[in-house]
This record gives sequence, structure tokens and C-alpha cells, in this order.
Amino acid sequence: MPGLTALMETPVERPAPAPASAPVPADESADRALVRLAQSGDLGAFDELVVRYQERIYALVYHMTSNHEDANDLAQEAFVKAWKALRNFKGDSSFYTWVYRIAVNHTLNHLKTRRSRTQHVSLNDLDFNAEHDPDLLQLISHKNPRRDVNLRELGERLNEAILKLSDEHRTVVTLHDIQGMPHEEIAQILQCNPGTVRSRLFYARQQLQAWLSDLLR
Amino acid sequence: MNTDPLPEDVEPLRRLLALKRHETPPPGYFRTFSRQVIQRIEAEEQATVASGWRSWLTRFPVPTAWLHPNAWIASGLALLAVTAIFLRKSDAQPGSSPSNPQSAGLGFNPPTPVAFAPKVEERFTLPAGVGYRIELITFDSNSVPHSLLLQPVFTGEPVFWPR
Repeated sequence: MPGLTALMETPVERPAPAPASAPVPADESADRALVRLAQSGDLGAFDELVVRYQERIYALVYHMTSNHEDANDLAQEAFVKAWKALRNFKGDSSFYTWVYRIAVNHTLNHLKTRRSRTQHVSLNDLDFNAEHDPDLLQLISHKNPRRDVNLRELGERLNEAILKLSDEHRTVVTLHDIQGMPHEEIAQILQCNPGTVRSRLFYARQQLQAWLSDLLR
Repeated sequence: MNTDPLPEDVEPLRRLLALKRHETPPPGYFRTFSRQVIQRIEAEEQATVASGWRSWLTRFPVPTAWLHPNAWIASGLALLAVTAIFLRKSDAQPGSSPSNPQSAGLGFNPPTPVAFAPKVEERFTLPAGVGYRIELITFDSNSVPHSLLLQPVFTGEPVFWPR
């Protein structure tokens, strides 16, 4: 992926970043219709469902693994698992929650089996819109005028800190603080109490604040 | 969506973490994503069907070597070779034609008809001047005659039987 400097020199049209809070699918009835078609073996309907949720599922897996190749494989495998299990999907929850649960569990299993992997990408791979983010500009401007260096260091520090969290704590941080999901929906996905989600989030934030204290001053 | 109030000291961390939303895959990545998912599904379903056939075949007490693709290829070649030899042999038969189903392509000739040449078994000659040759004609010397042919032969004066 090109660095931020290269992106600044040759601006390209990039998709807008994910919104501050992860959107709940507004058209759940359309989802249900597509699910019914897919349950009867219609791959085209399932393809439409994949298109609807591919970006969010990819982002979820990417933030849990900090690795593009892993995120690519795991996100695709999660959808394949969803297709295989679709006949057993009763519709007790939304398709969105259900497929999120599959992706989270599949990624957690992957992380348990490949614990030794530490390679990750940094915020050097930030998209073009990152340079316009006011939070990022504020953080960089009062730290160091050499933006590229600071941006890279910031990304590495952030990812290192996130990867130091346990898988369960990283999952709630990803779902809540990065993807913007409410506690109740995270509890549905992880099949635990909202209180458990809150306590995990509290503990994870404490750890991150300790590790990133110099950036947060 | 995120309606939970955040403590003051958590807000800088939350804003810092939110920067990760800018990490995106290469441009155009999602244009092919769903297609790749569908291809994976189709490939897995084909593999499932193939393994189903394989497990069905293993129910029979067939030597494992027979399940090898080379065994099937060898069997096919052997069948082709036998067919080619058979066709060549039937083409080489003189007089064989499809119109004669008994001889065409069967590898043998029908039995030749029994020669109908009459055979003289005995000759009787009457001593009184008139003789008759009696021919006993049979199909085979060892079999019972099927018919008798009496062919008169006039050799001279008629015979006058004594009264």
C-alpha cells in the first residue's frame, strides 16, 4: 500500500472512511428477503448480502488482526461459513448480527492458533482522508512538525498497543471504540451480558491509556 | 449509535482509536471481494460433491489402485485397443458383409451345404437281359437314406418274367 506522502503528492479518489458509528442496516426487511432466497440456494442473493456487509466485516477482522492478508482470508472465510450455516439461520437475530458473530468467532479462533504472528501494518497505510481528520491534525501539529515521521510512529504505537491486548479485550475495543457499536449489540454478537462488555472495555481502556499515556497528554 | 456517555479522560483515547477507521484496503479491493467469496463457495461445493462420490466408491471392496485415475485411463485404452483389433479382423474376412449377419463380424463361417451328389450304393442287374440300376442316394454313408431314386436304364430287350 502506498505511504501517506505518496498519497498526498498524487491524490486519488478513495472511498470515504467508515462513519464514526457503525451503521445498523436500515433495510432489515430486504435482508430477510435476501436471506430467504439464499436459504433456498440462490447464490446471487447471497452475493448481494456479501456486498452489503463486506466492508464492515473486513474492517472488523482487520482491526482485530492488523494484517491485510489475514483480514482478506478471514473475512472471505467468514462469509463462506455463513453460506454453509445459512440453512440453520432461524432469524432470531438480524443477519448483520449473525454474520458479525461468525466473523468474530472465526477471527478469535485464528488468533488463538497463530499467536506468534506479530507482523502488522501501521497507520502509514492511512487513506487519503486521514490527513483531513481534525483529531489527527491536532495530535500531530503540537507534537512535531515532521508529519510523516509522527504519523508513522503514531500508527505503530497505536497498533502495538492494541495488539498487546488480549483477544477478547481487543474485540470489544474494535467493536465499540473503532466501529462504534453499542454495548447491547456487542453483547448479542459475543453472546454475553452487556455488563461483561462494559467491564472488558473498561479494563482494555485502562491498559491502552497506560501504554499510550505520552500520546494522550 | 454509541449513546453511552464517556468519561472525560477516556475521550482522547477514543478519538485516538477512531483514527484506525482510516486504515482501508487498497483502492478497488471491494470490487472483487464478493466475486472471490462466491468462487470459494462454488469451489468448496464442487469439492464436496467429488468427495461424496469418492466416499460412495469406497463402500465397495474395490482395490484402492482401481480408484486411481491412471487405472481408469489404462482401462479405456485397453478397451479401445480390443475394439480396434476386432474391427480390423472383421474387415479382413472375404465376402463378409453386413447383409449376411451370420458371417459379418462374427469371426466364423456358416456350415457349407451338404453336397447333393448322388452316391451309388448298390447295382442290381437282372440276368434276363433287362437291367435296372437302382441307386440308393443318401446324404451320408453312415446315415439312414432319406430317399430312393429309381432310375431305369434300358440295356436291350425287355425282360419277360417267367410265369
